[in-house]
This record gives sequence, C-alpha cells and structure tokens, in this order.
Amino acid sequence: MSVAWDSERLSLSGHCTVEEAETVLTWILQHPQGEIDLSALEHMHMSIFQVLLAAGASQVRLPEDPFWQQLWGSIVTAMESDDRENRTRSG
Amino acid sequence: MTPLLEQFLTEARESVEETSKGLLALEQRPADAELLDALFRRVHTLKGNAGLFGFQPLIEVSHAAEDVLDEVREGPVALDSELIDVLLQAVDAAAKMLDSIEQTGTIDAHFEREARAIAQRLHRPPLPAGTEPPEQSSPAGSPAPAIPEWIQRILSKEQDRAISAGQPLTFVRYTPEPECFFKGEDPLFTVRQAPGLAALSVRPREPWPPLEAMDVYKANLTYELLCRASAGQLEDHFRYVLQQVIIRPVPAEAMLASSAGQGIPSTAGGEADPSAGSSHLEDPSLLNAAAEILAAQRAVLDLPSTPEERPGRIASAGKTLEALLRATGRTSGLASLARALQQADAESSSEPLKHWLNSLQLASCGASPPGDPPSGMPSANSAPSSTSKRTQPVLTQGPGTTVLKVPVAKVDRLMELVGEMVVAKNALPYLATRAESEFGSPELAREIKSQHAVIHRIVQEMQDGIQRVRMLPVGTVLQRFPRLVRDLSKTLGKEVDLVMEGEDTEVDKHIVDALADPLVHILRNSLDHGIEPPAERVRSGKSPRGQIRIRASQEGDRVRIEIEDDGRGIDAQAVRRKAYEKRLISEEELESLSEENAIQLVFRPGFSTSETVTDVSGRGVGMDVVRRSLERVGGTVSLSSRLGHGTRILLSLPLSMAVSRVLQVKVGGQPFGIPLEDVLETVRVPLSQVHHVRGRSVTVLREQVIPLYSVSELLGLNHQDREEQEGILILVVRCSSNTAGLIVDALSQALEVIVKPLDGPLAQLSGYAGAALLGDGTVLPVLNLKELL
Repeated sequence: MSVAWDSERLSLSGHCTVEEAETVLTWILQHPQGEIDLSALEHMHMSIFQVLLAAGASQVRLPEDPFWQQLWGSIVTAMESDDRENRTRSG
Repeated sequence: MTPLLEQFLTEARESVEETSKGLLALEQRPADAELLDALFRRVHTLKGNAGLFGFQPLIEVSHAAEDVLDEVREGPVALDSELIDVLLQAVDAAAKMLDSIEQTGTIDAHFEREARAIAQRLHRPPLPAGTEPPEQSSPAGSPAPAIPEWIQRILSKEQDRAISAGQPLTFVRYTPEPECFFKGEDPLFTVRQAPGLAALSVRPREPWPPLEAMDVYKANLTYELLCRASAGQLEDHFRYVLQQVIIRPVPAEAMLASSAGQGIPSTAGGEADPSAGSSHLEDPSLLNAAAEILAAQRAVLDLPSTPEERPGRIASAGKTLEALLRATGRTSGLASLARALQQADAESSSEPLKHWLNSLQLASCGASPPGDPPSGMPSANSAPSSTSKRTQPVLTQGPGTTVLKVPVAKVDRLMELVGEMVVAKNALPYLATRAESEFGSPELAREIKSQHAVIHRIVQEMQDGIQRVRMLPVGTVLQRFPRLVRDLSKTLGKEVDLVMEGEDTEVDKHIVDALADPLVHILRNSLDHGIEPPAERVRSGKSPRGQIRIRASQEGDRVRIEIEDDGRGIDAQAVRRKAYEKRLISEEELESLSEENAIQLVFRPGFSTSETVTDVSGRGVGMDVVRRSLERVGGTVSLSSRLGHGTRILLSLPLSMAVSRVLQVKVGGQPFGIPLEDVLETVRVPLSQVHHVRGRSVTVLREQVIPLYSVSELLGLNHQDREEQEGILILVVRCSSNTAGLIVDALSQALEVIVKPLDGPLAQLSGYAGAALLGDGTVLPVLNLKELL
C-alpha cells in the first residue's frame, strides 16, 4: 500500500503512481489542514506532486533524499513570488 | 445546453476521434483512396456542423484540413508523415475547442490565434525535417542565452566547480505536454534522472484552477534544470520528449559575466522570479516609460564626447540600463550588459554599449521580428503573458465519453450487499415451511416458494452484473499505444508498425490499471533498444519497418499478454558482462550462465539504472520494476529473446482480483475452502500405501514421496480423520514449490467466491486467508496453505 491515511495525516510511501493522484486530491479536499507525510516516499508521479503543489500543502514531512528537499525548496519560493505578484496586481 | 448543441458535440467528438484514427490508418496505407474519402467526408461534415453554430475557429481548422485532404486526393500534395503531424495537431486543437464548447457553450477566444496558426501550417508546406522550431533556436546575434535569473544567481557557485572539473554546464527547460500522463510518462521521474542534475526549479505552466476542479491527469508544470552534463547527454536523456524541452549549454563566458555582474548592487525589485518576469510590463504607462528610457540612453551615447567624458557617460548609461532590466524583470540580460560595459570600458568607446542596445530588441524580445522600433521591445512580451494569465476553464472532462466513473469501493459495497441479500433470500424457504406447518396454508407456502425462485434468479444476475462492472476490456489500456508508438518511433527515427490483437479480452479493472505502466515500459524498451533503425534492418536482411505485436488472450482464469518485436534481440553476452560489472553475478556465473538464464538477469534489481541508457533498458526504471508491479497483482512475466531476431515478453495475470476460485472440502463435518490454484490433483490412497517415516505419514505417488498432513490436526479440530475401506482422500497441493498431501474427509465442489480477510479477534488466527460467504449463507473459511504448512 503506497497511500495510507487517517483523518489527520496522509502518508505516501514507496513508489506512488498516477493511479493514486485522485485519492490524494480527494483526501486533501476533505482535509485541507491535514499533514502530508512523505518521509518513506521513494518517488511520486508528477500528477501527485502537482496536486500537492496546487493545494499549497504546507504541512509536509519531506523524504531525506536531497532531490525532494531541493525540489520543495524551489516550489516554495515560486509560490511566494506568485503571492507577491498577486498582491502587487490587486494592490 | 440545448439538445441541438448536445447532439452537435456528440457527433463532433465522434468525428474528431474517427479522424484521428483515420489519419493514423492512412499513414500506414497512404494509397487507400477509400480511407481518404471517408476522412474527407468526416472533416467536411464537421466543418458544416460547426458552421451551423458559427464556431469560427473550428470552421477555420476543419476548412483548412478539408482543403489539404482535397489536395491530397487530387494529387498535387503528398501525404507524408509531416503533414499527418500537422493534421493530428489540428485534430487535437479541434478536440480542445469541443471541450471549451462543452464547458462554456462557446469557443474560448484564445483558440482563434491557434486556429489561424494551424490553418497557416496546413496551407503552407510544413517545415522540412530537421528544421528547428523558431523558439528552439537562439535568436541571431543574441548576446546571451535566455538563462533564467535563478540560475544566474547560483552560477558563480557552480562555476568554480565546473571549471575546475572541466565539466560542461547545461540549462534545460522542460514543459511536458498537458496530455503526457496518458502516454505513461512521468516527467518528474525524467527530471529526477537527468544526468548531472545540479539545481532545479519548478512552476505551474498555467495558474492552478480551484482545487475542486483540478484535473489530476493534466500536466501543468514547467521544470528548469541546471545540469553538470553536456547538451548531447541531455538530448539523449530527453530523447522521447525532445519537442518539449529547450536545451542550452551555459557558455563559460556567461559564467564569467555573471560573476562580473555580481558586485553591482541591485536597484529595483532585484529578486524577480522567472515566472514573474512577464507580468511587470503589462501597464502601458510603464511600457512607454521603458521605451523612453531606452531612447534617452541611446541619445546620450550618440552625443559626441571627449575621451574624458566618455567613461562617466558609459557608466551612467550602464547603471540606468541595469536598473531598467531589473525593474522590468529581464534579469537574463544582465550578464550580457555587464560584458558590454566591460568591453566599452576597455576600449573607452560607447560602441559596445550601443551594439548591446541594438541587440536588445532582437535578443531579449526573442519573438519580436527584426526591425521593430525600440519601443516594440516591451510589447513583445505582453503577448505570451496574456495567454499564460488567461483563466483556464475549470472543468476538464474526458472527451465526451458517457462512461460513469465510480470508485471501486462503491462497487465493492454493492457486492457486499448482494451477499447479504443472498442470506436474506435464504430465509424464504424456511418461512414457506412455517406457513404450511404452523399456519396450515399450503397455497401461501407455494407462493412464497415461487417468489423465492424469482428473487434467487435476480440475485444471481445481480451478482454476475456487478462482477462485470469491474471488468474492462484490455483495449482500454492498449488504445493509447498507437499514438505512443507513432510519436516515439518518429522521435527515434525508426519505422514501426504496432499490431494489436485481442483488445476485447476482459479483465478486472484493478488488473487493467496494473498493466499500464509495465506495458509502457516494455514498449519503450522495444522501440528504443529492440527495433533497429531502418538502415540497420535492411543490412541484416529485414524489412525496414519493424513490428511490435501485442496479443491479449484469455487462458483459463488468467489473461495472457504477449509483446513481441522483431528487433535485434537481447545480447546475452552483453547482459552477462553488465551484470558482472554491477556485481550481480559472480565470476563463475559469468562463465557458466546459460544464454537463456543470462537474459533473465535484466529482471534483477539494480541491473538497469540510468547509466545503462544505451543498453537493454533505459530510463532508470528497469525490468525489475515491471516484474515487481506485476507480481503485486499476482502476475508473472517471462522473457525470451533470439539475438538478431527479436524479443518476446509474456505477461500472465489473474482475470479478476475480486473473485477467486476455491475448492470446497469437508473436514470434521465443517466446510473449508482451498485456493484452487494451489491444488494439483485429488487422489484416494489405500491405507496400505500410507507409510510412516520418522513419525510422519507419507505416500508415494508416481515415484514421488509426498508428505501427508491432516487438515484437522493442522487446524486443531477435535476430530479423527475418516479412514474408510477404500483409503483416505488426499488433496495434492503445491506450496511454495513443494508438493504436499492434505488429508480431508470429503470434496464437494469448486466455487467462485469473494474472499474477505478475517477481521476483529479472528484476524489473529493464522492459517486462514479469509472467509467467503456462500450462496446459502454459510461462512466458508479459506485456508492459507503457505501459513498452514
């Protein structure tokens, strides 16, 4: 089982495929404040990654692999600058 | 939506799908005039229907396609694969327009431009092969490649390392096409495996829709990578998706220039994110201001000046331009500006800076046509930004299918309910008996009985129907492959025919899902490493077109899928060597392994990694993953290959996950189920043939010694095995490659049941795989032989 969840936490582990993206999306819709645990993740399909990104998931436990750390770092900056951009535009 | 529009959509979608299929077929048989006629009629009808509703972009695209097809029919235009490409693009665009109509009732305005572009491409002969699309070639006279600012920022760190190691640095921007998931691609994995990946950044291609309306199957990210590898290596890595990537070497001078520019303090809004870059210039007053500033700097530089004045003027113009670049988010121009300034300083001349100003319109605007006035510079960027800011229509549905998407859990729930209904139904005969004996009404009893028969039949059909809901034709997973094979073989410069058979073989949905990834992987392997380029095929006496055959068929309660190519086969010697280098086999094995067994090494974890790109597998995910993901659903994979003649891969999977076949036996008057796949045979052995060896019963069956186990003993039932005159009844079973005999009292029948795992306190019991509810309401415990023995 590569996706497991309860009411507070969604855990992805091992290799998560495109088939699991909808499950992840459904869970996040139901638990917008929930925690996402990726600590045992080896790889997730881009579709799942996109869901996390679009949801702006903030409570995320990252895997130790530096790839994810770096990738996550690069998104957070991108999202912040999106915010900044939105604010400038609306202001 | 009006019924008329609904009907239009249904028909148009069918036309689009049929056209797409027809085009692929026509590529195979270009001389088929009938096919061409049919295609022409389809497109013609589509155009006419679109005309009824006045969907202008759709009319334009279909009209252009119709014209081209007509010319093909008449002869002046040859239908080559380039033309098919453009026509397929037109079909894709038409499909997207239909989506737009379905969601909003009209075609989104941005399609007008797309429609015109496609119509133009259709009317003009397509670009000759090998011509790079304009956005891939760097603009003439460009002083620096368009490397995003975030990379410029880390370049100085990378530079020392790269220069000292003599390594090339390459920038990659990868924007996967929205539909790429349907081709089985995982761009994130491709990015992750990129050779020498040093840094990366990711951002959405289009703004995210509200989460509730998100289409998880649509790719919407752009990746930017900095890699410590050559452009060639990266081209090889991204070879399947070359159209979707921009690969640029980072020249050594850019590295130096960026470090030279480092000391200059940032003035206005320096930390612009690359994605933010396009938004800064949307305000028209800002655009004008920027144009004015540019013109003023040029005027200053054009003024005659003495050698004493010159350095000051250059420096001040330089500072102004730098601030302008930062304020407009065009930080990618900073490096070339710094270089121009250095040169101007050294030569004490304003020429390099003027030259830079001239190149600005050409380079930093990229798309702007040469000769635009300086004020055209800001406008060049506003066009793409308006498309990227466009709010995307939210609901993206599959192309017009009337298929209901239901979570599997709901179907399972229905299945459970039917099971309960069976139990409830079985109370009726009892009621009938009571009606007769207690209430003395045989008529009522008869009535109840006949009602019972009716309900029984309905329940049976329901059960059958629900099982069928879970079954899907294998074709649902195969249908994406013709396009995948076509696109990939084109990218790889090979000619391949894909032949598919048995698409309507039905299997459980779960199995269909599990098949997709392995099949994509196997197909890619065949295309990339199996099928040779046409020239090589001709040299080895084969037809220039390779063939990949996928054959699905049902075999008992399993589905068999065979993927066969007529390519170069697997070189056992090379595999052996590779496995040895990777320390997967010892030196003796290197010598002794038979060819047959050597080939199987490709299934070993660790055999196929990204380093073996040109060998047997190639994308980091190896055949071991294929095997593992099939085994997870009870499947197997085997491989055979003849060097020079091709490779054959055989997948075998259970037809259904939900339903398993068990043999019902009786022990101690109680029924038990034994998975039928474990049962080899049933025999009755006379007592005289049961021997005792070291306190253990054995028997000899066809010269094989079989240990005997008493099921009642194994389960701890308080019951003596029945020993009748004619001997004991033995079930010969297979248990993890061993054979054993189980002593049972009686055999009843083979059943198809849904095995549910035991829960609650019962879950602690070992030796049981679960329990099934039988039609008569009996609970049938199903044994797990591996645990039991």
